Amino acid sequence: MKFEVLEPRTLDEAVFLLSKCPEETRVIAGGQSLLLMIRAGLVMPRFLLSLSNVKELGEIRLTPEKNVYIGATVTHRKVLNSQLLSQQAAILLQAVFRIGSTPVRNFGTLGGNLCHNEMGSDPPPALLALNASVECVSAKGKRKLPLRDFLTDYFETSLKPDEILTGIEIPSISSSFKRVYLKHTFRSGDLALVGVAAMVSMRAETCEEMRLALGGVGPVPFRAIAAERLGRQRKLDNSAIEEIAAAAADASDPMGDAHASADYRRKMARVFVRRALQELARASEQA
Amino acid sequence: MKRIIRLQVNGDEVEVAVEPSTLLLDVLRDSLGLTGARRGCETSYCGACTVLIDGRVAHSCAILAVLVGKRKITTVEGLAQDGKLDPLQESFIEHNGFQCGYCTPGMILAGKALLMKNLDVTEADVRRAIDGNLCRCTGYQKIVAAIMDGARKYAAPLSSLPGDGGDVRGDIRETEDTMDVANKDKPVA
Repeated sequence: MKFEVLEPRTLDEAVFLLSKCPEETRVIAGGQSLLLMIRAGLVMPRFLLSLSNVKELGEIRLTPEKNVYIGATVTHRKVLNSQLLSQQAAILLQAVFRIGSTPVRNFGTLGGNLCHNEMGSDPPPALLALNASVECVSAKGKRKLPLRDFLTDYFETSLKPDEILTGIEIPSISSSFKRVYLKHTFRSGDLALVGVAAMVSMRAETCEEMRLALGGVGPVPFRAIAAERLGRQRKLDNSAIEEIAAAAADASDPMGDAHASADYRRKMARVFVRRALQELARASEQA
Repeated sequence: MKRIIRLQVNGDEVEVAVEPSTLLLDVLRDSLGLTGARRGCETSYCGACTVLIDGRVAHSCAILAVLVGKRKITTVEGLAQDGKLDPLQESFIEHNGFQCGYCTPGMILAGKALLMKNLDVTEADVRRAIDGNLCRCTGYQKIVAAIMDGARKYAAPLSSLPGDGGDVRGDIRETEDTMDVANKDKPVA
């Protein structure tokens, strides 16, 4: 494990340094995943470009369009402490609450989490349900893309070697949405075998809009679009929920590993989508 | 190439020469002889290497020493004052909160970080606070009991503490992010 650490103070400087040697440089924020990967010999960068001193990336703020902008180096801890996010993106807080352990949440960052794109990570399903987009910057310019286009494959993203993920933007959302993030693991600090982010907007007893995102049950977290359509303009009774849960499980494409077989994950996808929707249906009745 | 860095450790400023790739754990153990931070899994899972950075629980095996900067590091060696154990350390002894002792510095520091923020804690708060620390001996019951007792000790009038314990909310208190709008640990459902 041999590398040099670069510590730019501004984003411009960071982007410039990265453009010098993009293939041999890795960007580090909290380092809670990257350092482990380096130590395991999975990545062997010559340079680590630390964003710790780039203050502009550490903010949570409201954009002029009333969207919420989360800088890439905002820690999970800070997400959990943010009043703004608890009002506008409560489902993200529910997901971040379930990440790893306290030390990981203290130093790990939301941007780092997305760039790592590990299967079963908690924030991505919540952010997909919130229709989040990400912003990337390189020496050539800036681009904004939907999160679903950013997460491309197991441990892979569409971030180019010379790009830095600078922030996550969450569109403002109607307060009529009920939302829940459910996670299935054997030990609480583990990655999700299945993570389900569900949001519904109800009018009287009818579901006006449904958003369902799943993690841990495919190479990338995804929105179960077909299942969502089944829920639209429908009363969320048991038979509707069963149908939607089955469709969501059908859309999953899990990999088996030492923690759980592919079959088990698919079955649990169905179980946890069902539980999430039951919970939301109950919450809507009470409201 | 080695760099000279300055670290704030247990109230002292120390100067060490490190490779950029050196972990905080290695500096503490090998350069500074602070072996209270234990080498465990080295994959940020077990928490044996726990230290506090600005009052926040950190796994020192997952932190690069050169990136710590001016932030204050506390190891278990920094808790006792003038030869008197911290009240929380006393609680661990009284409640037999350890057997082999390997996880103990991490458990005490995780408990300390919690109690510096909040003395009105529930058992669930305590269990959440030690979620980054594994113990393979005690089954956690006695550790939780020790930290709950520590909360009572800290909350008691200072005069009743052994050795007049001093200000428990002293200089290793967690520094708040200026950006935080509210200090809230649990998201709403």
